[in-house]
Amino acid sequence: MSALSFSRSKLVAVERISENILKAHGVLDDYIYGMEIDVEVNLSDFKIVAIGGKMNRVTTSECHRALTVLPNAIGMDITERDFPRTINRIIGRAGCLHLGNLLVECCDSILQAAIFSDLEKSGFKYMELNASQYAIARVATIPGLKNSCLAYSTDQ
Amino acid sequence: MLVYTRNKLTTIEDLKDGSLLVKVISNDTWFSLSLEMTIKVPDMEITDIKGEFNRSFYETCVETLPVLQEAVGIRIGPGLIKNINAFIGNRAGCRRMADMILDGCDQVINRFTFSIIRQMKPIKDEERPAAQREFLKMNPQLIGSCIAYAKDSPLVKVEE
Repeated sequence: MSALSFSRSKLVAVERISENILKAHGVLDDYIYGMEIDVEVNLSDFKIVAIGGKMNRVTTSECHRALTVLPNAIGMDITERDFPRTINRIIGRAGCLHLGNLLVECCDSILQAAIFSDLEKSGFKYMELNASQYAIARVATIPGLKNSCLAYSTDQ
Repeated sequence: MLVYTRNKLTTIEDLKDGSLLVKVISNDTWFSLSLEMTIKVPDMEITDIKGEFNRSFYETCVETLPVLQEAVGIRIGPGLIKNINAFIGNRAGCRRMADMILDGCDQVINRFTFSIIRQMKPIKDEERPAAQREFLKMNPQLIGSCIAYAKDSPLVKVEE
């Protein structure tokens, strides 16, 4: 029998706060750290329009200062291929790696919510759909999706 | 009203032979994935990996599972992100699985950091600067890794 030597959970909830704005609330809790992020993305251009955070459990007296770099993410396009790497640099290394990690999780969740927003709007009537056709339609409308994985590959 | 939720849990177990068992579960509105990998210590090498789609909007996703074997032999260290994204998170693979591998590897590092932090917890306030010095000596890779360990941070200046 073995016990856990480390555990991290991340929970992200996305809501539509206006016709074009999706807001994600993300919570990260692990054996060391606890933090939260609220981020809003405008679906017309996929850019971050608002962001805030909270450090609930950290390891040093300096960690809270990481929240001051969060506004640097405003204006960033979450569909850019290098988005996670850029966030790791401007929020992670310049602030807190774990906060950067949570922000990437929140923005990826917003992107997933955007990809499936038509289904959500129609009351989750997904069983009647041809998934392959849906994927082709998404590739045409969501930037950065094309060839990002097998489901969105043009080889399909 | 919520339009999407994601719940991701990563756990690390220490095995009898000294290796680590990493389990990552991601459950969201449209997909449910799980991943297990074994990390050999101290090599920090991925020696075994398996994944599963428990629920997927796209039937084709399950076809990406064999690609996961490309991760075997990759070490947690420089080049990890580039390699995992190149071999797993590509047009023939699954970006979500690639992210889960990277998340799992991150928590392996945090598992070792946690051991050190736990050892430092009982240290008294007046002894903390010296302990901090020792901590940074043991973990020089932390310097410049975040705002707390930036070169102009009071925590790092203790070191100088």
